[in-house]
Amino acid sequence: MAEAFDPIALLQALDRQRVAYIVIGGLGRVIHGSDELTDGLDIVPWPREENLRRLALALDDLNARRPDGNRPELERDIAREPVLELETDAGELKIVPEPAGTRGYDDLRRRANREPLGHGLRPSVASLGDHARMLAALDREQDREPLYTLHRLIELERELSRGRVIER
Amino acid sequence: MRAGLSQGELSEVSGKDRAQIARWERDVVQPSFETLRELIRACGYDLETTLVPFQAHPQHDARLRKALARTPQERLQAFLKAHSR
Repeated sequence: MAEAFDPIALLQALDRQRVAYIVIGGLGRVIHGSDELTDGLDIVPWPREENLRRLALALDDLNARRPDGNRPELERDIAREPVLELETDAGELKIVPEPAGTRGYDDLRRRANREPLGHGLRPSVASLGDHARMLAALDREQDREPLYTLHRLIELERELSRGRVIER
Repeated sequence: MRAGLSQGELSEVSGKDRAQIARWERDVVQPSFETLRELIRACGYDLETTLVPFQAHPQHDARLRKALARTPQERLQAFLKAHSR
């Protein structure tokens, strides 16, 4: 049976091992203001070897296992699979080295913001625009509604900021 | 995005300044409609525009405005509350 989703515990486990990553997916959209529900955490890890070693330690701490019940072999698995889906003691965790429509961590990092979430957590979260870019690239029927919500959030944020200009 | 071009490549095919493309991508400023269309055509696509009736979603917008007024921490707390129900 799937474990209850505890995003705080997942993020804390990543922080304890000083993993560099960017939050994407449903939880990233929720942090930006989307009112959807999600059952897992999706992250894009910094692909440096040392960081992947720290991520592997965090996965051990979380008792991460693949859908077949086996423990992941991180570097091998992410080289083979575009999305590494894991079940942990704190719920689902997806590791996505190169999300659709992006060039991975370095591409997303430039526009990501560290968002204070309490419990001492300030994870990097992909920007609203990048979240829309990723969903649009997936081109899935199920993403129509969250994509509309993201576009509306972008428009409403612009209305609030009013500092931007249209130019040629 | 669909054309799979980097900023430098888009600059080359469109004749637009790379720094300006970066500013558009970072959402610092937005290109005009005409410029957007030029960029899309330079990528081998076209932008079709059709007038359709505007459908407002006032309740949805109200929820989003409320969420935007919250801090990220408050948004996560609201999510956890809804998730536990």
